Amino acid sequence: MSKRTSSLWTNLFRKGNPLTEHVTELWSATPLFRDIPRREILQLVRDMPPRHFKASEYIFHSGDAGAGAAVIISGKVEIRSAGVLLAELSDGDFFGEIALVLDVARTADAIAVQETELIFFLRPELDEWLARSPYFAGKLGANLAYVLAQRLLQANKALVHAGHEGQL
Amino acid sequence: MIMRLLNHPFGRALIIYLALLLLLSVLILLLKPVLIPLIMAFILFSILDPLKNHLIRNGLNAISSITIVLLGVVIIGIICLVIGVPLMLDQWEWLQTRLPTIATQIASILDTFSSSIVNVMGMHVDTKLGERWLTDLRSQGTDAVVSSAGIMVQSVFALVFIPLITFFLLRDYRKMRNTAMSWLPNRAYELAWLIYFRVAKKLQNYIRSVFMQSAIIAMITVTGFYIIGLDTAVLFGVLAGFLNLIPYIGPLLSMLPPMLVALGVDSPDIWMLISIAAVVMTAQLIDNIIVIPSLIANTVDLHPMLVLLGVVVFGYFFGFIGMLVAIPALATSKIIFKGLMNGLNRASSEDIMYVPINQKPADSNPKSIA
Repeated sequence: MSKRTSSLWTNLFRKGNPLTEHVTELWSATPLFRDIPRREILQLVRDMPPRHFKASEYIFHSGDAGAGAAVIISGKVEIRSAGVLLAELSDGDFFGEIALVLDVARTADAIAVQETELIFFLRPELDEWLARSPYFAGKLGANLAYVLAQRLLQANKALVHAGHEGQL
Repeated sequence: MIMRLLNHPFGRALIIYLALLLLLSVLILLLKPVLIPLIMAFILFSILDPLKNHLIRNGLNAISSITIVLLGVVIIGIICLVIGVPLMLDQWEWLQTRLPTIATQIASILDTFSSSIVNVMGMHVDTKLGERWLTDLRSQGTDAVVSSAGIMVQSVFALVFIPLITFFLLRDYRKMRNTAMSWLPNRAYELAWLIYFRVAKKLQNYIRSVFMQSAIIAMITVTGFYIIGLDTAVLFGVLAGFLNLIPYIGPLLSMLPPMLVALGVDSPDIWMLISIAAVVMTAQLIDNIIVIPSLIANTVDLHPMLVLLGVVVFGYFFGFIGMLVAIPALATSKIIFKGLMNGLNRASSEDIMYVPINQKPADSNPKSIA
């Protein structure tokens, strides 16, 4: 095989950026991107550079403007509200999805516990995806509704439980 | 003083806003030689992006969609250059030959009015003003016709350069924007995205709506002027479309040149003047009843007084271009400043009901929800 043919062959079947591939895998494993083809997610994450946070650095504060959700590529993130630990998240977990739906301030603090790398999926990206590929972006909307409904269900259970304890 | 300003969200927003303005001014200065084609390319990008998305939605890949959309633009551009530009240049040359008669006629009309005003009110009117203005216009027009070859060369250059930039914008804008955003510090990242999102959405909607509105106005006025028998129907119709980009003042200005031409004959036809006014007013009526409610509504959220002041002030400092960019510039400034104020004045989360999930790390793993 000549050198030119070989390079053409390599270009045709070259593997993508390993980080992009990894982030695509991470997002596709979340319920947000359930039943959405890999190539669609790949297109979304291809041009989105990751963000690096030092240990103890705030990713966002409660009350900050929220533009979208983030998935953790590596590291650990704590979600806190008024100093109370709500959740500890690590590789592959995502948070901040409310900002994909509502234009409201962040409802809790997100802090990088150690050196953390994450990638955002932002509302402008969702908006553009909706214009380009409404079927799959709509699917993400349905998945998002599912995730938020699950959270609401959990919150209702917690409230009922707290009510029962109060009666006792 | 500066420290006090920095401690207040308004002060911080103002400083960031002024810094952004300075950065924009430097950019404009650096890009001055290619600024107009660059702005044209961005306008085309705003108009063509939805068409590209439409083709992608129908199964075409990105490159094919961009090629088809741009090919359409180039074909329309060539048709305009081959048919429209020579036609308008012909009409402009015809107008040139008429300008001395128009100038004399207007001067005599003004003289008549002047003597009436002197008789009735005792005021003097400078009747040479109109004549001087028309003489200036004539000399500028002669220069324009002399340099019509230059216009053609510039048009051909623009016809190559603008689609080329538009092609790269349609293909790589997302990547370029995301890379530029990645240079921002972590704490400003999401706020910058939010402000960008609001500004881009408003601006794109405004550009699309206003250019569609102008095209509709141009089509109506060209047809109307042609029907009433105006010799410069295409020239003044297209001009009316362009002038429509200037809110409030533009429609009035668009009536002026055809009126002057109609007045500049030996015995002005009153019906021609009424017909010209009727065509412009019909176009404005269609614009107000049909076009504005369906296209323009809610694109910019500015008080009419501010719009009018903005147009006059921008027009005074930056001329015709200033009048065109006044509204988008004001709307963008408003969104950026409001976004900075809201973002820097960290909203109290007390009014936002927070639902504690109380989940353990295992529950908090979203993968487990599925």
